[in-house]
Amino acid sequence: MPENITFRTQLIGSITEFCQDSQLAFLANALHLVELIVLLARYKEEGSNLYPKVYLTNNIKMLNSMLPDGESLKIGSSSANANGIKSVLKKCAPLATNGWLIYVEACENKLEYGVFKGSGNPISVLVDDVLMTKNDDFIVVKAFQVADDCVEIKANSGGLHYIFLNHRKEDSPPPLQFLGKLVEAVTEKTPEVDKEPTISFLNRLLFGALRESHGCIIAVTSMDTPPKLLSSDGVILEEPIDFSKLVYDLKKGTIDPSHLDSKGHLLQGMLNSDGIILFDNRGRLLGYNCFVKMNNKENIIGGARKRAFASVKSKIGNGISAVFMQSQDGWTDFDGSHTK
Amino acid sequence: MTDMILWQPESGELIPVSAKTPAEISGFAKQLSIKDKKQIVSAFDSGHYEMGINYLWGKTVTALKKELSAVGVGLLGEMLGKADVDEDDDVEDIITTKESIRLAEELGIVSSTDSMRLRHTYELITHFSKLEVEESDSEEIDESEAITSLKSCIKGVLGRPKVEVAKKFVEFREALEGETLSSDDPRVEMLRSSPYFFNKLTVSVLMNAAKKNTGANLEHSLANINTLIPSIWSKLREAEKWQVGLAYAEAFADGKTTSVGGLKSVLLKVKGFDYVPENLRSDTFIKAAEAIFRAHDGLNNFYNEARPVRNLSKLGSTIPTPALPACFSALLSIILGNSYGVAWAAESEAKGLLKKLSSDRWAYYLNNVFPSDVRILNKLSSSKPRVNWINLSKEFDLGSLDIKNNTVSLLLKASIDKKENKISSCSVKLLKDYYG
Repeated sequence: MPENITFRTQLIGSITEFCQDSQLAFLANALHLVELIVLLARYKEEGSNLYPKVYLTNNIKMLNSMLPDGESLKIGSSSANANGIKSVLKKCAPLATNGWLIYVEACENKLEYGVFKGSGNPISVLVDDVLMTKNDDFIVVKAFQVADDCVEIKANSGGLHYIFLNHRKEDSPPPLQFLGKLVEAVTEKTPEVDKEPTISFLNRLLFGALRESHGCIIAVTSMDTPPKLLSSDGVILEEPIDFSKLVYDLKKGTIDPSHLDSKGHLLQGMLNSDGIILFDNRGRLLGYNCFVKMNNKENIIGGARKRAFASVKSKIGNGISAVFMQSQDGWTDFDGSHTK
Repeated sequence: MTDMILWQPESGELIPVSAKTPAEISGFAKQLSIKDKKQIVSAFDSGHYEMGINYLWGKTVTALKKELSAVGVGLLGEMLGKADVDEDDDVEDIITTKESIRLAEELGIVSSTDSMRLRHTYELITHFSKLEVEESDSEEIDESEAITSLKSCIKGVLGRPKVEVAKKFVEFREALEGETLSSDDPRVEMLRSSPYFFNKLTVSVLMNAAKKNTGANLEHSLANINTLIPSIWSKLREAEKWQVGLAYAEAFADGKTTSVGGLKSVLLKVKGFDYVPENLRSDTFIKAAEAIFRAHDGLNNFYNEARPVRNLSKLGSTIPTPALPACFSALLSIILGNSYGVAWAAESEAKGLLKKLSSDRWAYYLNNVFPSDVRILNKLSSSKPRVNWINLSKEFDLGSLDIKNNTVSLLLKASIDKKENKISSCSVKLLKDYYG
């Protein structure tokens, strides 16, 4: 009789310690988290891929009170086992788009679940910045498909793992790990008082947009005008979109949140265009659809995007301060002058 | 330890008893130039007392406001409950004369006696400036009133060297933002043992700092929030607890990640997340209440009060809890009026709004806000507003409410029994408990 070897068996061993450290009673049985990870890795409904973020908690009331101006909608309850997890995703995953997230409150013998979201204000603090930091008696465990075949599990008590459900090596860098560095480079010279909300806004915007993009390159310049390398073949905006200024205006109440959101939608559209997107390090979007001459000196293995990334990277310190690349499957690379 | 307070008004004999003439008295006005002194003395000597006093009063108020601005315009705004004030605003634009006298007293810049004398001088000037032309010809400020006012202005403000007075407070405020206080720092213990006013003020300073500071100052402020707030939390009244929750909600909406982290930490420590408002709707109500205060304290208040009260009324009768203190205080200010009377149009609208509030809300206000509602307590020392308060107590049946604070309970009983002296003494006691 042949013995089956599955990812499940492997996973249980690997995440048991994480489950124990999280102190969430529901995860005392690691199989529950395994079920969730496997479901999220390739979740589909009606033929469409879905990427819901799931937050398991011991106190939904506390979770809601930490997110002022947020919303919460209870959907139902299910048994506290693997079938219950399936039921949660079946009911909630299609709803968890446009900022809505799934919560699962693990009570004694059942799971209460529903959807919630943070503030609709585009510059408000990110939900994870509040929920996923250490909170003593308040426990949160988050699970999310961060890239194809990769699920991130994170506990607010400190544990963090990327579960690869493919052939990637153990020491592979996590996907989107460079998003923070990109945003840091883009906001490097923004006024101190507006830096945090600008970072929150760009993080929120880019995280969602990059997850759905088919890959992109974003370059950051430290110059006052776009470097010739990119401006000679690209769309350079006559009037840059100054996100830092828009954030300032929103805080002062001179523009509505929808004004900032609509500029964000333009950036999302640009991420779906060919070519390189160009920012400066003061939070201004200068142009998109930019192309560079390929650098053939280095022996780059990969497609056009990877070679374009190498070309821009070679100009770092020479008008370019940072460059970020996301490949089609969601994995990223980055280089920046301040990381050298 | 219990009688320790953080700062006190500087006292001392600024004008010797032997100084009796305008020239002798004005000689002690260190903040007046020789030219100013000459002009004032000349007006007094010519019997133009009203002109002289008006000129003197302008100089006094300017000097007082300038001195107040030394503690930071943002803080003054917080103390007055004006959330939209920041350091770039001009002190002249945001503080009325009445408010500046009150703030000077609260900050220890002038003693309560000097503050009372300054208020009297202000009332005297306002009274004569409001007289009709015919009346103005027959009534005038006499010499003794003018000399008393001259003394009050010099003793209270102009006789002091510039920007020396609020020094102790400025030092404490700087420490709150400029250094991290440890839990065994004597200033922490001192704050714990201080009268409620200082606790309230410290909450205002720290929340203001969490919302507006950046860099090292923010780090110090957040560390101090995590040391000081838990140590005084059990003493804090509902209004101040909501203030902490509201600061968290505002910082959250403004994307101030670092501030939110620090405030979240303190709210977890004190189990205070119940005080975080679900949304920022309360902000709109607070701003509407502030507009009422501005109209009430400004010139031509009887004409200007109706519109902001109507605006508050338009926001709906469900006032969010964090905005209740400001809204109650604003509406009661309109109904109680001042020593000249009330604005009828505004009063009926304000009463209409208060009538929509349940007895629970009234009990909440009287238990948690009224004991530190300096604005209303001060009104009860004045005859006309006190009579209006008595009528209001009866109309709203305040005697039937469940009140935990003994002095407030006595005050309400005295109001129902129409015992004016008892009302006054109770309000004075509440103010004394508040300021220490």
